[in-house]
Amino acid sequence: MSTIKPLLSVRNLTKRFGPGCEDCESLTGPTQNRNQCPTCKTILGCGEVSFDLYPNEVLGIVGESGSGKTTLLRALHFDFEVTSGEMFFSYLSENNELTDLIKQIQDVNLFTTTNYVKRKVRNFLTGIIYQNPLMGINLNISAGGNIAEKMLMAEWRNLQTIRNRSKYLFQKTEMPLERIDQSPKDFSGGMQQRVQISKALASNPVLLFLDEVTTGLDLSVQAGVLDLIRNIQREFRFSMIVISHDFGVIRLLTERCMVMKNGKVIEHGLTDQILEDPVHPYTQLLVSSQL
Amino acid sequence: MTGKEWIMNQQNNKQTFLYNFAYLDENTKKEIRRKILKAVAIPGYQVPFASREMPIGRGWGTGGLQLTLSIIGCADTLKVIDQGSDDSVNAISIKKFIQKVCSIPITNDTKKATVIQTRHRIPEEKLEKNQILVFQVPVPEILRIIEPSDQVTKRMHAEADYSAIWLYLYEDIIHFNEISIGAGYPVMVNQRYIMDPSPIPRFDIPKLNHSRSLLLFGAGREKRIYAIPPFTDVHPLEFEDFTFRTEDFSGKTCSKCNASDVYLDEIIDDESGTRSYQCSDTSYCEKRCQP
Amino acid sequence: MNNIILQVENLEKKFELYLPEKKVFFAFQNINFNLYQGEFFSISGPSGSGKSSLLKCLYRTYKTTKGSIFYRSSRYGIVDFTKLQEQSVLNIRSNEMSYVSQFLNVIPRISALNLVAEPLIRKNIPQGIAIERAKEMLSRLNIPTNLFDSSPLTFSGGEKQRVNIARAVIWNPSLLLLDEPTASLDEKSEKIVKKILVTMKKSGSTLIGIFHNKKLINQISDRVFLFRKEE
Repeated sequence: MSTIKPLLSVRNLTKRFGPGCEDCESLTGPTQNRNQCPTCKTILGCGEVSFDLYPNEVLGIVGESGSGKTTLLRALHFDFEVTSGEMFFSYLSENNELTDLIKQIQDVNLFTTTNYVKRKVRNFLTGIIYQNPLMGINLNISAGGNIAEKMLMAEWRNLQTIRNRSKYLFQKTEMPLERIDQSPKDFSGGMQQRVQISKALASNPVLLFLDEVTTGLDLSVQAGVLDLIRNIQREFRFSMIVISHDFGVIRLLTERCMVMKNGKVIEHGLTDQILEDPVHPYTQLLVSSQL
Repeated sequence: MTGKEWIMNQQNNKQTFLYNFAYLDENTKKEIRRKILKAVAIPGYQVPFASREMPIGRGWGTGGLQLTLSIIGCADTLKVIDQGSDDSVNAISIKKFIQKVCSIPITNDTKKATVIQTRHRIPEEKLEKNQILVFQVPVPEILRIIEPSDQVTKRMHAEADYSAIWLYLYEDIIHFNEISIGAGYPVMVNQRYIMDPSPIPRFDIPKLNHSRSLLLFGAGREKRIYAIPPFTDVHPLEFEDFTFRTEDFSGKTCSKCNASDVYLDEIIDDESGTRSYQCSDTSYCEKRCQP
Repeated sequence: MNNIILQVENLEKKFELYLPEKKVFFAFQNINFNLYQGEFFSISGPSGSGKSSLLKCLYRTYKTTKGSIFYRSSRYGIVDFTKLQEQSVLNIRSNEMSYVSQFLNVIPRISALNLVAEPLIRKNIPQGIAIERAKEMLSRLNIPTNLFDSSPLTFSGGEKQRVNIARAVIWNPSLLLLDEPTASLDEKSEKIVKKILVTMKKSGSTLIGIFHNKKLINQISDRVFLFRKEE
């Protein structure tokens, strides 16, 4: 059988907002059709989520708002502490500078490791593109500076290399190069999103998180941004986790996806199978609700 | 003298107990010494301490003074400098005070001193293993230029999340082709913590690396102690292709002692408008002038 | 037995639809057949009898509800395709097994040339070579050169279908599933497609397909599987 190791393994990831009680388990989730425990008012962000992500693979997570998609993504990006669960990152690299870090995280549950290690993983191995570009970029800094920041995070220390890479990504994302030293304050939403994409990609991450990246953009801009992400993924071959409520986005970008409802994964499979032969009643509803 | 209960006032030839040796009570000294040990154990890390009220105003060297008083013993010889000068008001009043509460010998000669308290300079003469240099620090938090919240800067140090300060340098170079930080240039200590070296000129920064003497830093107003133990790696933040530069005195010499490889103060004659240069380290200059 | 590439046992596909209200029906039940290496296998039967559903089950676009599909993979050995890990299914799909759908279903804004070159690029063939081979394939299928850079969604039905076939055939998959690939083709195009399929078979590929044209079935298939409509 296959000997390829998953890049990322997540087991039983649970995030609750609140104190939690004995009833939480049985009174929340898709079967109960609610996120909030009626006894202790604790909210189930996501519960018992497990999956593997392989190198060069794109995994979709789809569900309506409040289904726990973003909570899941933020947990993987270490934006907050999880309630329970395990996360393993196994990455082999020829890059000698990463050897120490890779050794440090081997067979280690990243959810329970130090914030210092978490930040290293985040800075060196991953990138994130938020729905709102303002969450990912700083308007007080030039567009080029924003892109440079990601490389500085990954401890790139050669100005010329950083500068060239910023310019390269600017062109790659079809941005006018003469605006690289301007603040993204004066950019359109689509352009800001492109700056955010450049930033996320700048340090050659092996794993990219996409959180509803096209929601809020004009339809034509949406298409442009999605095509861009798709082409760049094909070219650089990193792994991606794509969050969306829109099956169109999932179909365009992913080959495998999970469907979430009330914090739990109710169905997972090949994307074409989910779209053509959805089994769970809720998935059937989602698929049939496409415009 | 044991130093435990030290007798100070000799009015009327009657000996009375007015102050403990070195002004501070023994419990205070003990606390500060413990904090010094912690600071030495974690080079570059800012250790909070209970900064005491001193008979001089906060911001006038109370941090350095408390360090000096905690470590000084009867066998020590003290030197105090302010911007390189032994005779400025701040240096004189601190010297007088310490002499009054310790009655230990005071010197201007760098080589003879065992404890040197300094404001904004490192002496030109190389320090040795048996000497301790105590810095007065106005603002110990180097990340303050980019982050106002103490809670956040603490987290940044804990996670070695230093991209923001690197970005600050990057933007400086992009906009001005120069790093605008002069005195108090940020240094990386022991490959772990970025530290404020107190407002010493860039000229003195290389002296911090693998120093033979122990370097202690005290900030009285901000209640922080930090340290660089002997023979520790200390490097200014720099890019591979934009390296750290010190102040350039090439072609200039001291008008008194003719020294050329020292930090020079510029002196402009009010009447003629001519510029001349003098050693900032006055005792070094005097030593050279003596026949 | 050695040359069986696909062994279908007791296959059943049951749909449970919940919208607007719960409804259960079977696409097919109790299907058994073997597929031998290098043969051309046709599935025939009245429309609505579940032929397409069967093909989709073989490709895992549909989840099988009962039975097994043993597939001999060059990479994984003999595996039950209905239970195989998703990652491995994707691997087989991009390296061994290809599928030609009834209708072209592609992302807009991508040119015909890039669409056809894509499976090659995914197999790490350099972009330049992939594009060259895509041009060759499109020309062989009589797609006018001036259409290469347009999205096939703007093409005529026959042209669309030829692009669809080009995409599936260009990388020489060892198993090719065809769902009425010639339905909307004129006689000339059908002949070209037929020629391509025959060449593939000669080079060792196994083909399984649904065709309506009886004459074509008789001309190219080694065996025919007859579907009866479920009562």
